[in-house]
Amino acid sequence: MSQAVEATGRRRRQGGLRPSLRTKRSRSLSSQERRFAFWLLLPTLVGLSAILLYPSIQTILWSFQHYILTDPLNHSYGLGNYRQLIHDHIFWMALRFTIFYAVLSVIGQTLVGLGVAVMANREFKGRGIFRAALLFPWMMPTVITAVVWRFMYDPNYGLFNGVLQRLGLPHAFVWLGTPTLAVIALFLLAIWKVNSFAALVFLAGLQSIPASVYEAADVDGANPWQRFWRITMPMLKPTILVVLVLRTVEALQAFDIIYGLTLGGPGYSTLNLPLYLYQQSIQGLNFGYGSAMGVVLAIMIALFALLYMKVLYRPDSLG
Amino acid sequence: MTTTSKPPSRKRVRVKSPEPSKVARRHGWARARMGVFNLSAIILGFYALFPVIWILITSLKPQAQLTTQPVTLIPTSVTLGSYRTALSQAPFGRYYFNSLLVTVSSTIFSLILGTFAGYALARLRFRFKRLILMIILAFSFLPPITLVVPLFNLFRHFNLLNTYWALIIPYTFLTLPICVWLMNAYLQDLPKELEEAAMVDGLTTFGAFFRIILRVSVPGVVTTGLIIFATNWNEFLLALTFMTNNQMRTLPVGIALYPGQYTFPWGIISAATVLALVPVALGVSVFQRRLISGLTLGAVK
Repeated sequence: MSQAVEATGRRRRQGGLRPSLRTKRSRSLSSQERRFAFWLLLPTLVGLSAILLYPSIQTILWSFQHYILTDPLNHSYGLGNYRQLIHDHIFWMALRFTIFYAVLSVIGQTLVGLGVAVMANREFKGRGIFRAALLFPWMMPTVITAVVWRFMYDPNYGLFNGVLQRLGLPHAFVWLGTPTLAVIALFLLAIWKVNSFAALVFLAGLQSIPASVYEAADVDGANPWQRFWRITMPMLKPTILVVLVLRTVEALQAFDIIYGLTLGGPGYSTLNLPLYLYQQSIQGLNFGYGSAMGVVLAIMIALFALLYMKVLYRPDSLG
Repeated sequence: MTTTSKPPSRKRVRVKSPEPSKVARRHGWARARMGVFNLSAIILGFYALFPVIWILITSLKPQAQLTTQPVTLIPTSVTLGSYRTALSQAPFGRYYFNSLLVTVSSTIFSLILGTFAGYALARLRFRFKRLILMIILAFSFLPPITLVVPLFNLFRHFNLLNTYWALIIPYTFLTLPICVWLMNAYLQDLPKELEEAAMVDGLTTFGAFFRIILRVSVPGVVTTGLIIFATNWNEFLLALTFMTNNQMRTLPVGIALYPGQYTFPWGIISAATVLALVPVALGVSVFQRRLISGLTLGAVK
């Protein structure tokens, strides 16, 4: 990348400037500017390549190797790791749960967030406190949040069963000990953790809709329902799309939240790909196999990331 | 902010309306609706905060009230015993120090590099700017879970595991793309005249950056810094993997791995959690506006 910057500089110097600016002083100024830009960008690009790009390439290479840390025989393995993945039914369960979790939690987060945002989009007393309250779940460390919820799900001393019991309702739920309940528990936590953040983003989006549009609709006699579907939703669409894609990318990588709440259990009922990858490579020290899983995950994420970049890369945005 | 001015003007028009009975009815209806609205705002606020409230209550409960059935919702007496145990028994103080050190230094490094790169991309003239910006942004999509194994191997090779560098280095560069992105967006909005005035005063591009741009970009740096700080403060995966020595653990890992998976000492854990949330709570309450504007920048442009 750094070379590209310099190459541009050289090409520009050969006469890409507007004629009116082609004085000695301005020419030296703009070459000085290019050199300065090069040095400003250099550490960032070098560092990103060394710490993020190089390991990614290594992951791809390792995925074609038989590489187990405890096994001195490190040799080329071709598609061996991938072939092993295809026959690993735990991998398929984890992959299925990864997609299931990403889709359902993101839909839940977006819907609840949208509801909250539409409701809160007006001036009221204590609005600052309300927004701070919304910000809190998002700012809390995810793994700590999960530990706190694990405590609330405790069958004996937890908040949920306790409140149910006080209300005289059935209360003997072993939340994290039964597969179905554990999945529900995870979704409740995932929605709580993110919906308020989604709401804040939607609120900002709602506030960028000019009031004159609504006033015009009022003049035309539109009812609230029509206002929502004909004005609010279309104008909020880009924001919703960005939130959906970004949250999906994140949900596909969910690790902290599951590690803190269920560790993938009971059985394999909440095991997702990142957690299985972690178990195989860091705990099992099978770097090759873990890397193959990493490649599969990265491809899934890349698809969504490309979608995001496409949304963002509008001609009118970014100078 | 256009919505701010709307309701009062509307009300004024209605008060002037010639039919008093209709006005009164409308007024009552509006008031009822406002009441419902306030109530639901309170409920939503409570929904967002109840786990925090619960953990705060638990941390203050005396030992005996932690294990009653049904659970004690509001303790009859309050004690700081759990806090004392958390700070003396487990090395939570040490975890706290580790977290602060790693987070602060990686945030500073990221901000320095990110401001440099963001400035170059926002205000200097050279080709392929947008491409470089997009490549940097693409880095932010590399999933840390796929980086953790090679980085683990790399740090093992250089004997950096269980040192602060094992977290400071990756944290700096994992947050750098977002940092560049936010600083670029912020610096782009500054008036172009800043540099022109600097040129008139005889400053070089270099001088204009260090003497003028850096000074006026303080609000942007603060916003970006807060977001990066929060990201690094909350990080778990790398901290879990690269810090295997108990003395080197950060706060999230220390809390998550606190011994006793099944019979959890909840009082102590709650106290430690409350302590871990202090910087978060401070940041949220003091910098609420900045945080929201920073967090929503990418999505609402």
